[in-house]
Amino acid sequence: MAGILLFGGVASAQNRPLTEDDFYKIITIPSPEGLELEVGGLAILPEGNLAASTRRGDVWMIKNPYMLNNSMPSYKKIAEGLHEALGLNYLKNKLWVTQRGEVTILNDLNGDNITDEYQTFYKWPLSGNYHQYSYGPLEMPDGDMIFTLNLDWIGRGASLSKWRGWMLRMTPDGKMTPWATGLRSPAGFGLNKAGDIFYTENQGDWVGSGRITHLEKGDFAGNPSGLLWSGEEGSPVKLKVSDIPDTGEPLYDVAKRVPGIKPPAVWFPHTLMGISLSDIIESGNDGKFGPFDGQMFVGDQGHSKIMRMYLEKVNGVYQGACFPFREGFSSGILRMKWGIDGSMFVGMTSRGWSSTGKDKFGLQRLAWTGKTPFEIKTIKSMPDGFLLEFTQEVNKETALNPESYELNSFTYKYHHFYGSPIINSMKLKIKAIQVAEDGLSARLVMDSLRLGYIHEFKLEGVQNKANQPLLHNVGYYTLNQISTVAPKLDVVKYAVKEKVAAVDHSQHANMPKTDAKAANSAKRIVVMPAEWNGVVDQTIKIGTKPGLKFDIDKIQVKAGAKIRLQFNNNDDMLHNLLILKPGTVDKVGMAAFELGLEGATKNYVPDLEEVLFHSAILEPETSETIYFTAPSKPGNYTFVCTFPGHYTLMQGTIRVR
Amino acid sequence: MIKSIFASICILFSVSVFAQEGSDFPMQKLPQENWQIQGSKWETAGNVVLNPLNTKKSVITPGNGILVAKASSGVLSSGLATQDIKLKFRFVLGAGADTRFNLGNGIAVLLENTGKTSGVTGSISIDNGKIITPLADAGKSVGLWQTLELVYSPAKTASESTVIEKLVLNGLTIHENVFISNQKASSVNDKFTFDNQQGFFAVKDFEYLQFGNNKPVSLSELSYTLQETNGFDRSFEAKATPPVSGKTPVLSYDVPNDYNRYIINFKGKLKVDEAGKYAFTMDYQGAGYLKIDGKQVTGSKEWTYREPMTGMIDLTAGEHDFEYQYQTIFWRPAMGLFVSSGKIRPYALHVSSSLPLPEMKGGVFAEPSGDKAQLIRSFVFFKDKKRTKVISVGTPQQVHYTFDLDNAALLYAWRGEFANVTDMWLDRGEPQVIKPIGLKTELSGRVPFYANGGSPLDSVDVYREFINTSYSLNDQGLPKFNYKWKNSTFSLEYTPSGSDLNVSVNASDYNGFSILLDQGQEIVKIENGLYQVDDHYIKTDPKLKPEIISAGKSKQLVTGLNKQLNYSIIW
Repeated sequence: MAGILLFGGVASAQNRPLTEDDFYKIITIPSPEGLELEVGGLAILPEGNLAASTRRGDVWMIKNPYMLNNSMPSYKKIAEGLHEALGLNYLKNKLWVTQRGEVTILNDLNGDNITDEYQTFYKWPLSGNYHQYSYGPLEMPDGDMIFTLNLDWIGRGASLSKWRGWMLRMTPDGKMTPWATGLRSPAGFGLNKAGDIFYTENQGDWVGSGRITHLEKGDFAGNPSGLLWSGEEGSPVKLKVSDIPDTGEPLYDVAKRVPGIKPPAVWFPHTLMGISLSDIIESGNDGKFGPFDGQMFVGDQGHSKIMRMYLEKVNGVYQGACFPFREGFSSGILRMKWGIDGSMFVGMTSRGWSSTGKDKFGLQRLAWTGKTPFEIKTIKSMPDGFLLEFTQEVNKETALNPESYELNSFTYKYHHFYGSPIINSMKLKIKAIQVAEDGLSARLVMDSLRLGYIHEFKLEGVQNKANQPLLHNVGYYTLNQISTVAPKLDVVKYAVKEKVAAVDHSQHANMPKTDAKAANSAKRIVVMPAEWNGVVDQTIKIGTKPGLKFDIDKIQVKAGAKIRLQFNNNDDMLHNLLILKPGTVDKVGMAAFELGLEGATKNYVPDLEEVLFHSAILEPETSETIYFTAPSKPGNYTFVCTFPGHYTLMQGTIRVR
Repeated sequence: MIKSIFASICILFSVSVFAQEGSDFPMQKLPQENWQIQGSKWETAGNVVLNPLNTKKSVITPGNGILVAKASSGVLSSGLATQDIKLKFRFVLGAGADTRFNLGNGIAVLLENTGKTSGVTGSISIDNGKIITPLADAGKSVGLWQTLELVYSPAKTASESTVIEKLVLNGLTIHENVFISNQKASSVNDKFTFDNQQGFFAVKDFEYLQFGNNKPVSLSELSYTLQETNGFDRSFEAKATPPVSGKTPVLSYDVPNDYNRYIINFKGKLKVDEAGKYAFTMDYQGAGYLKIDGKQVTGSKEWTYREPMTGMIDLTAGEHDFEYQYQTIFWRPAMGLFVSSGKIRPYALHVSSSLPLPEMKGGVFAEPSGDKAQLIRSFVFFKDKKRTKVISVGTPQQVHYTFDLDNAALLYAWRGEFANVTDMWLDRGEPQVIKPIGLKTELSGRVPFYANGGSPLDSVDVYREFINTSYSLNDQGLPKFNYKWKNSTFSLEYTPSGSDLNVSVNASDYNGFSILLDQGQEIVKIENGLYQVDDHYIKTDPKLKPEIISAGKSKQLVTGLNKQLNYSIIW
């Protein structure tokens, strides 16, 4: 049950740090050149086949998608002429596809797999706005089907035709019941074993950060645009647009006084846990995909990665934690489906939105290698804190040491603006720790628990018995309810020693301990130095373009020249600008990402000597001018934005001659 | 070889003499007296309704306005010298017709459908026998009036090239920037002529604009005010920073400033040497407006990337007040202004550094391959509105159509290349519209069926009453669209036939329903089974007796359904 390292490999495995690839392998399913496989939907077909629908309106049948013995898959187009097919499923012995304006059943009348009849199952009106994407079907245990409809985008979300922003439930004979609303970009939704529906939401207007919400009939999940239709016949939602306050308080607090608002089960903090959540699927109970049976996996389009979510029900309310799981997919993840062998097919597209995975589209399969990683398996609510379960026995000394942990809690604003900064962030103190006899769990008692808040756990110091660190040492728990089932822990018996001094938050222990703000200001001079006597040798203007780009990618300066650099953030996201020593952008970019929550207070600038000069992190539509003297050593220096998720794409070269 | 093309045209400007759609310069009509009809075999007529099936049954009404060449009538001179020109005319061909429109210098445009030359209508022939193929076969069917527009610049010396800047046939650009060299210099005696070599030909509405080389409009005394703004706020809200003013010798955004977002407002004098109607074209990345004498001529509050906007204004000779305002949005600043008129090609009033070449993207195109039709579902603009439940079918026979699934209505039929899908599949594809490529005709776009005793419907409830149930594909991949309504089922199927489109209509309760075959401004019965509806024909079984009825300002062609109703669309 615990992770078994391959017998002959123990010694070598300990010689290098283990990576995600050791536990879950990504296999690329190649497609023929010229085939724009922008995956919108995936369906498992009989006989071991896979079907993929694309944004260009095709459906492809892929034979031999498991590519056993390194054999090649084969592709056959079985349907075309659909309008952006973002949902596909094989149900009731038929292929169902959801396109922008219609749910269509693809009928093959002569048995050659190619669709001969496109049957209109259900249709709804469209406004002509490109953002009206439509998704489904998801089959319920009773045979009904669930669909969701994306909002329009007119500079903000809007519901310009009936039912946009809603989840709809349909019977097999086409009777439709509106189910829930408040949705913005509901590209992914799935069931758990109990038959409850969860959907993923993207950061945007009224949505402070990505999140997963449990949707029951009549729920309102937050974005008011869909409430335009709550008065329609059959609507189970009673709220009206005017019922929704726009105060910037946390959603959880607003939900307390406005019945009908459903707070999320799990928040996925923006940029730390993805930037655009997509599909969600629950792992089976057969152990084929590692030690996470019953947990859910959530895809991210912008960060090309899959995260993991553990859910529990406390006082009848769903809540739980999200963890990093697997990154490095080739494009933006949109769809995930379980294959017949317990591996996961991952369908991807990034046209129109940049993603960390640089390909424009892709199809890959994620398979467990059989090795169990050392991970935080679950985080569970306790009356006085939390219980953390692990996939392997911990080294008890590290788990009992409070300095192995760093805990914070924070939340987001609920308002009409796009996204939200982190608010009310507070460090948490651990009062007591109990590690279980079997070493597989640790119980923490904290000094504060705030309802509705996201509790961040960083376990940098916890190791397993082989003295290895956790593969992923962070998790974010959304505390909607406090469980009172287990008894409280004896805090006297398990008290931790008081720490002698305040914990130093420096991320890189071997860096000189300078004051971050002072270091920041030495490299960021916003007033012309007096000794320049008003003379600037060169003025540079750098702006931004949509798609994580600077508007210029090559600049030349003379060595030693006095430079005035005006950085204009013309985009609708936060950006900064750093100038780095040649060849160091990956190191600095990664380090900025690892600043985590603290990054926001440091302009996402890591304390590294590789960073020469930098601007502050800029809000959209603002600019900053910095002054510096160009390096004396000629070379190709890099300018880059290190806001999490940006650095791989948003770079340019400053050539010093 | 292509030597001094720069002398004859400036290829740096991005503005053509076609200004904006629908707002072209009023052209001068060439009076009938100019044509050297006396001594030629050509005649005049007041109206011509050609019968494409039998030219002899055509109806030619005596009168004026149309020049007619009944058969092999030879040369007719326009009396207009070949020169820097934009011209336009309408013409119609009979069956087996071949006419040359001579541009002087041995260059001619073919207007023919004999199939005997290696060209088609719209090909350019050069006296050395060379044929320049058009970008598309845009000629209409026999008997239908066609429109040709040409912007042309003949070589003025032997070392220059003659340039066919643009040739547009029936709305399709079929030649663009064609350089013909090694021709003689044009002579003052060269005239534009028609040479009807074979078959029936008629021409009318010949208009033109002659271009000179002068620059009668200029700017002077320019000063500017620069105001920093808070982002791309539509209300032009200014920041607290004080405005910056100055004088500038040239119209350009590049004045000294440290701002990221700003509005720059130029004021000065516009000097006009010659009174007349002028077109001013703004081209920028952002938002802005142009005012002359305090009146807005063009510009927009919408944020646009390089979508030139043109406004026309009548100006007296002398000085006028000039105001040009430009606001930067998220793109790098770029702004420019062009002036043109019926007598001058566009030239820039800004300096070239203020308006660099725009970033242009290659397109995404769809073309059926193999032996089956290709289907694309999308939005499409029809009569300036977006239809959202639309499917387009491209066939290997190169006859294509777009169909509104909700309303069971044919929208467009066209032949040639299939579709430009750039607006669907480039980046986010925000417009999501398909654009037919090729020679197209527009149909009624209306729900076709109605109960007997009633009239064609303005609209119907497509969610609860008139329902599209499915479409099925035949062996060629062509769909048959199925509907149910009022206890009857209906189906529509479209099949290419040569360069025409056949329509096949079925209904289970055919005795209870009628069909709107077509609707147009004018419907003329040519003979039994052939009706001209605006720019295309509807061909039915000669025994079918459809009625032509009035509906407001339009005419409708209607008939009761029968067991199997077939008809064709010819354009």
